[in-house]
Amino acid sequence: MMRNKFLIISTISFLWISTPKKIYAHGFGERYDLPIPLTFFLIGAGLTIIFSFFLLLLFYNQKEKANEFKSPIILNQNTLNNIPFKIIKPFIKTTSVFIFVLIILTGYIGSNNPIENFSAPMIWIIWWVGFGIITPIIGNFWKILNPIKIIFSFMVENIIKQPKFLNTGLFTYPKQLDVWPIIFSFLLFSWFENVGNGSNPLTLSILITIYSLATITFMFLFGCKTWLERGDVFSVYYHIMGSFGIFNIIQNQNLKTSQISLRLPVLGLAKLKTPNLPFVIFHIILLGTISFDGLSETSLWSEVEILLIPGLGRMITESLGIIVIPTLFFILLWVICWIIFIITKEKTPETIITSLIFSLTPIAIAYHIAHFISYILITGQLIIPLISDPFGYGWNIFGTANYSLNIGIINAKTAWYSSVIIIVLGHIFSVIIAHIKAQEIFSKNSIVIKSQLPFLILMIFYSALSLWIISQPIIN
Amino acid sequence: MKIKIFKITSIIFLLTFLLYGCSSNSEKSTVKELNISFENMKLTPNIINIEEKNKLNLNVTSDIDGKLHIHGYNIEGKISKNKISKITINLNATGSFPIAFHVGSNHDEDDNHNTEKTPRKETIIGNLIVNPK
Repeated sequence: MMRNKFLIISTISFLWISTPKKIYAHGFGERYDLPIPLTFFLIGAGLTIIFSFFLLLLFYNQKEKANEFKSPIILNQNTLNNIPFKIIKPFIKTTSVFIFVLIILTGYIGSNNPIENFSAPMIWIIWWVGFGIITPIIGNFWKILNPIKIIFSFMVENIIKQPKFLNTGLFTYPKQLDVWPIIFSFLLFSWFENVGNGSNPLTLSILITIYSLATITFMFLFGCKTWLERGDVFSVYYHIMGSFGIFNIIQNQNLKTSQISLRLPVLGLAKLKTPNLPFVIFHIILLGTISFDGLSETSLWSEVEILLIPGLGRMITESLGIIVIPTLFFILLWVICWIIFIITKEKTPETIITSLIFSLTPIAIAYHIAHFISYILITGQLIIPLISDPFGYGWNIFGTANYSLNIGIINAKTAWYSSVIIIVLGHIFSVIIAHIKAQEIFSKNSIVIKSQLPFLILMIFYSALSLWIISQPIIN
Repeated sequence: MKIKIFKITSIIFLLTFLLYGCSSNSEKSTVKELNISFENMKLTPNIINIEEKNKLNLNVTSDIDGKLHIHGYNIEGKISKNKISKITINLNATGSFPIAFHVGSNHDEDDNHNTEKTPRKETIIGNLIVNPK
């Protein structure tokens, strides 16, 4: 009874804190992007179709499986133990924790205006959008920068002197939990990003504090490594995004970086462990949310809002978007996998969906980069004045407080060309990954090719949707 | 095979980028004059479509005192009742920039604001769309 009361009070307080007093959808910040013209949309869509069938033809004539690309090691354990790295590593860790603490502090005691406070631009623009663009290019450097992990490692190694918590916790991770913690936390996160009051500095700091404390508690309960792999949504997110990048960062049992090697871009994605069905659900929510983020800025979504808000209210209408879009994605993907099952008669739809799911990631990453390229370059400059005045108190520590945004940093034409090229490239990479994954599960090349036809249609649709979204005027 | 595909793809896109980079545009900038009116809280025309790298002189007639603020460019111009007010914009950035109206406040301020930090009451009345050449 008491427990139920506590739950009700907590839920009401939580909703009160997070209820949007002023709507700043999708993080925040005004956008001035011009939509890509119809010709660019048509050329982009045409190229995705041409490349799809061109690659299918290439794969059809492929006689043997591809040779493995040997990843050259650029930094090994010995090099990483050398003097320069002994200085660089603590410096990186200290800087990461310093920025993390500054984000929380500025949120609690700084200005309540998101543009005058270091926390909101740092979280939504630099970390969420910026890292989301750089990680797929470079690799999963979040492994090194994760401040909660750094703090936890420091605590267990130097304060309580129980480094075993890095690997094992007080309890064994319950099998039933699977990856549901990351599904739940990602849905909450995307709700705050798209619907909730996530840009308010105070709300943001409260949420970061709660999340950090919860993460540290679960790391003690189930072990740091286990929690990072199954419960910490951002570690999992950057692990997937980072597998796209050219640097493969490997950490040892003590979660210390032991090796950095070079690899071909994108192909790391094909080497990710085949996930189970709950992970597929998480991944679809991730893909759906990335698309919804852009879709919700189009006039089409505005019309949906005009239709539904009078009856349901803004919060429920926008919350519906976060649920409905991934659900539609899931249904579509499931239908396609059933069709592949009927055509090939070799593997179950579940095996097909779990094997092919990561092949849609390049399209989502490409869309994320194309959609945010101008945003990160223009609105990202907001961080420059805030470096000098993080609390919004009128300081000018580094002399950048009066910096004005350079809105001409990227020309619309450059953004259009880049966006179309990036989306087409993302599509090509998706086709390649899908082929590699299909080769792993199907017995013959002819069956692999057959299986790819329905999936190709899905990928063309997904790329065309990405192009369509960036061809729509942004409704701020 | 995979590496070959990557090489082919990379070359195609590198060439596209190079072709785009070489196709420079050397048109001269011109000064464009445009008469707009702000009456009954409505801007006519409310969408101003223009090409970049030009200078735009807006001649604004209004039935109310206040300020027009062009977001992004952060240009603010005073407009006075029953007078023609001039706002000049060097169109050096492309994009779709909201045009806002602030009521009253005719005290002197810089025309070119550096920040949009202080939230003020404003009504979005139109858009300045600067297209690339």
